[in-house]
Amino acid sequence: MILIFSTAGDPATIDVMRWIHHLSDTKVVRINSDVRYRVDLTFSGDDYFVRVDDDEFCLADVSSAWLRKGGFWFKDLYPPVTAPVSSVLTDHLSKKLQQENRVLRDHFHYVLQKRCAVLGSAHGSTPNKLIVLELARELGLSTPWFSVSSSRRYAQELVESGHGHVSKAMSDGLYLFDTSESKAGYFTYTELLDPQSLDGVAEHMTPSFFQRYVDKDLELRIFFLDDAFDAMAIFSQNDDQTKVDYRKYNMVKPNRVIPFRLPPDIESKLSQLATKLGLNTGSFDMIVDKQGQYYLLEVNPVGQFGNHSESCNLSIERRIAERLLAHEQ
Amino acid sequence: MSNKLKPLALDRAMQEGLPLCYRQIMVSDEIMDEPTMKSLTMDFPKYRHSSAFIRRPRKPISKPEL
Repeated sequence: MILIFSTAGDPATIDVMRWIHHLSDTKVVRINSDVRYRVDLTFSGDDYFVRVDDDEFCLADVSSAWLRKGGFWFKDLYPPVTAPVSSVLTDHLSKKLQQENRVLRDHFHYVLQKRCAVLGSAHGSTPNKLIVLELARELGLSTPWFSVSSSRRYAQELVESGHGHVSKAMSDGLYLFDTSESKAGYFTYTELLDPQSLDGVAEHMTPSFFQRYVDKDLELRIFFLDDAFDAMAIFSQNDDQTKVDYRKYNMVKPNRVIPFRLPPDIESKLSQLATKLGLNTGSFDMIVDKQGQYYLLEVNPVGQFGNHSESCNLSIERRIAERLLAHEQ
Repeated sequence: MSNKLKPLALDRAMQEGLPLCYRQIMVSDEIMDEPTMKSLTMDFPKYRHSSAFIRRPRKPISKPEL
């Protein structure tokens, strides 16, 4: 049996499930972190017995698990409580219940890792971007020079330094689809740090992340599955709309993309970095400057790869399906 | 993603609470079109919990195995 943890809106999960369906009769249970189920969970002996709506299984039945999206997939195991006499007690109890949930989640992941072949990150989130950049440097990968500061004066000095800089999120940034109220999408992007971006900013500002702007020749999106790396080059530099952040897609004249072969030493260092981060799948973002120097920007363990797969004819979805099926008896 | 991104107007108090790169929030009203809101239930009886929202039905549905 294959267990897939995801979210309801993830198109990659659907595509991989279709390939599993095409290739095999293996039972698949998909659990979405944003869907409410009736869940019963028992750990007894050395295994978890799980009932999710009408599906019952124990982790010993699972040959492969894909932790595609989400953090912990069993909602409402600890429903919110309200203490009758004290809001302080209510707040404290809520924190305690979150701690109980975290301990259970971590143990569930621990047993899952022992029981079956797990693809994906057990933490369901992006690794700390700053730590990734530090680790990359230690492995000999170049990264754009970066800094973090809560001082407007410092940001002003960067602007006046003559070197270009960008400001970007230290985490994933804003990427929200509001389906219920405003019916709109909200996004933040990597932005050039220029004098206008400091207009109206107080001396003490919220800590912000800055990175040296690299005048790039091309941008690389590199999907990896275990030790196989597939890179796509994106020619985003020639379009003012996409040159700082290619996610400001130009739908009228999309950036040209082509499959790209990485130099073996870059691939080897990325492989070491993935191992250090405990990742067996994900996507690295890199840029190559005009002198041919490679710079790592970040890694995303749960990013979308559909466009990459289709544009470069890589059949990533099928390869993930085959990886999940490989452990079936 | 739509081409028509508009900056979101933020009041000063909100701006002051945000890191620099969050001060320029872009909005797209075209993201949530009719197909985006459609829920697709996969017609594979062996799968449980396969009801899913799909951002763009065009791509998944066009797969030859369907």
